[in-house]
Amino acid sequence: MAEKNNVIYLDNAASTQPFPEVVECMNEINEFIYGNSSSVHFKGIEAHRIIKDSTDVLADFLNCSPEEVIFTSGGSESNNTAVKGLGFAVMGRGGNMVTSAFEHPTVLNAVKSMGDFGFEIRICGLNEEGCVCSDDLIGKIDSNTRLVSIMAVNSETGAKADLGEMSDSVKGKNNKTVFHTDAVQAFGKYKLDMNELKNIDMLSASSHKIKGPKGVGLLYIRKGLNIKPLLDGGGHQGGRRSGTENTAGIAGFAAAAGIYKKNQIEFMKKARELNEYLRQKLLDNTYDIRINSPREGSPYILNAAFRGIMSETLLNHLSGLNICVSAGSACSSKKKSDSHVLSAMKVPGDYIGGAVRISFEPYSQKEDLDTLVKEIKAVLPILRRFGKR
Amino acid sequence: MIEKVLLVKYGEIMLKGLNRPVFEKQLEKNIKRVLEGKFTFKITREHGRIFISIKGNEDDYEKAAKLVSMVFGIVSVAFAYKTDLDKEEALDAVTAAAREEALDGKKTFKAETRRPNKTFYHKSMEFSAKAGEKVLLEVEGLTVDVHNPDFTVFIEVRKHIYIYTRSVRGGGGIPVGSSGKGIVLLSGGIDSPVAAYLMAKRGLKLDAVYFHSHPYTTELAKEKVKDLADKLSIYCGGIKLHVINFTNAQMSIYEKCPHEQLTIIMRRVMMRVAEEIADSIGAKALVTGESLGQVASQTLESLHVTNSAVSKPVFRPLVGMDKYEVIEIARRIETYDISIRPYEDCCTIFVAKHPETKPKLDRILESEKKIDFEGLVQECLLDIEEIVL
Repeated sequence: MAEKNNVIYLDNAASTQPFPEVVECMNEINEFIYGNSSSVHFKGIEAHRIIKDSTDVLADFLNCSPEEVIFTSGGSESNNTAVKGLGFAVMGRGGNMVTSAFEHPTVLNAVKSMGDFGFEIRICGLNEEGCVCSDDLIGKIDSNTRLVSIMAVNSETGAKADLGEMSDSVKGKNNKTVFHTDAVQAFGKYKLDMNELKNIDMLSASSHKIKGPKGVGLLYIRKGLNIKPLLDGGGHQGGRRSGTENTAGIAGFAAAAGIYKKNQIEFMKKARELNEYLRQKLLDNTYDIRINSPREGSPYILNAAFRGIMSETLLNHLSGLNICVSAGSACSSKKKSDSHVLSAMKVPGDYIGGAVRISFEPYSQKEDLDTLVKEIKAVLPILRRFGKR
Repeated sequence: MIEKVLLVKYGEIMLKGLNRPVFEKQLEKNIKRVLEGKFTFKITREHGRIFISIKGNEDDYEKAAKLVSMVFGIVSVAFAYKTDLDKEEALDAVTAAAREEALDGKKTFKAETRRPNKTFYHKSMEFSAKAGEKVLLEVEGLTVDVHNPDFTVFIEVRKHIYIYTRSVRGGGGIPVGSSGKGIVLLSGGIDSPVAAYLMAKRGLKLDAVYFHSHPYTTELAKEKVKDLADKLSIYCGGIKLHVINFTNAQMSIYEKCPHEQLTIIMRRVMMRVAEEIADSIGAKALVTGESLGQVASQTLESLHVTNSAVSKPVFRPLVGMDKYEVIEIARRIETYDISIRPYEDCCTIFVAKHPETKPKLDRILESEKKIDFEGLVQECLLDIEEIVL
């Protein structure tokens, strides 16, 4: 199977193409380092060493100790482990969990499902920039709040939470509350220093959003915090997540993270340029457009809505031209309902159905953005003419 | 020598007098088609029966029987022992078959002999008695019950002797291909695949037509129709899917014709296009999944107007069925779960809020003067993707 020619892939918030170095490193491990990292023979030790080195790289990235990192099958599992693992650990005491309308469905639904286990669920709203309302959040916290989970960078709009300030105020109100953040869209792209972010207790990250492989992610759990494992078994990873470790995946994850760490500033600059460029170009070349991404948000994501069209039709059209973008976030784009984040942001009704998410990676090309805008500009009048009557 | 075979009984085609050899040949061909590539097998025919021997174990026989039973024209498929025209050998096989049933927990039985081959010395009744005697003697725990037995040992004396106790029901109907060719309009919904199935059951060899409106319908909708056609191909002895690029036709109608007549005019174009394809492949009928009164476009008035666009007979096998009856069949033939995938067949933006339920032909013809009706039909025929399943 080979890649089609002339693919313009601008759906990097959904998933990315792995770095060639990542693919190479994984191929080698899949072929030769096939031992089980828990085995005591030399093949096991080989695998164990690779996992240890990879853990060091990722822990170094988070400026935490390697024991504070567990590997999972990806962002969804990390989020579920954080929310449910904490919930099951403190279930006897009851209480409430607080999250926001800003969250990815993995957190939102994991928290909601804890309602069945006796927790009261509190969901705070967003302001018009699409960020969590701090006052609303703090107002919802009381002496019985067990968990607060707030996303670092929103996957639909790129809006960014001020995690430091937010976690500080949460702990200021109740220092026993556990603060979790879903950092799937932030990890690798932003500096996340767990030594500085002292009030963040858990953090989820995913490999395939930063040009690593799919099927692997991590959960940072601050030393001293005990959560119940979701997967019991042979006691891998200190009993916190059983199951034979995905050696190649973990090594690929670390390799990708290593590249991001080395180039973090440069990558960020590049993403900013791309974002600024596309933002301006769209505004210059189309009309009745609304940019939903705040300027201060993650430059890797640009959410734009066109009045009076259905984003799905635009996506189908672009896909026919080998251009990949998505509507809202990929996980929700097969559903018919409007984006819960954009609704919470009060995006007007005739715009919300026409929202498109364009997301970059450090090697996205400006010429590709030109092509994208050219094609959108060409088709918009047609799509609008044949809109709903 | 005792060996295993599948004994295939076919019903209605026995009645077709001089045409019988043609039907039988077609049936044999259709059986071959479902087994080819999956099993090593040999097919033989003998007055009113088809025998299949397969290289493989018990499991292979089960799988092959299931596939063969889906072929139209077959009443049942029995798991039989085949012996030489030899009394002792046949009785051994009877014992073996009865023993298997006894192991299965059955308690009572009877034996029933048919003897088309009158050169065999023992008469039917006499041989049944011998068989019963032998079983009573050799298999423990079984008694005879001629009125209401747990199982029956069937013995057929032909060139060889065939003994069986167990069979699976066939699809009934007549062999696909023995009633000529038709074209089914496949939309992706629940009804049209069922209509195709029912007409294939009456021996119609089908090609399918699907109207795709990129970018207003997603590629996934096309994939869905492909999957449906693939499922139908088992019953239909293979199926060719003609994908028509329908966007331009749809847009012309949308722009120029009264909105409440959109659906009906669109359907008339579709019928005409299907009729043209029918002509090109020598098909003499069209098949649709319409059911009287189900939706606005399926009232008697609408059906009349749609029907007037073509001169070939239009078969609507679901016309008198309720939705739940259709769903029952769809579930049985395993198209239901594909049909309910949430992609739209003809994008909702092309459907009026209040479509006409009692269209008049003269008024529709008047509206069609605003578009180049035949021109649109011919244009559709220029852009067809053919997929063989």
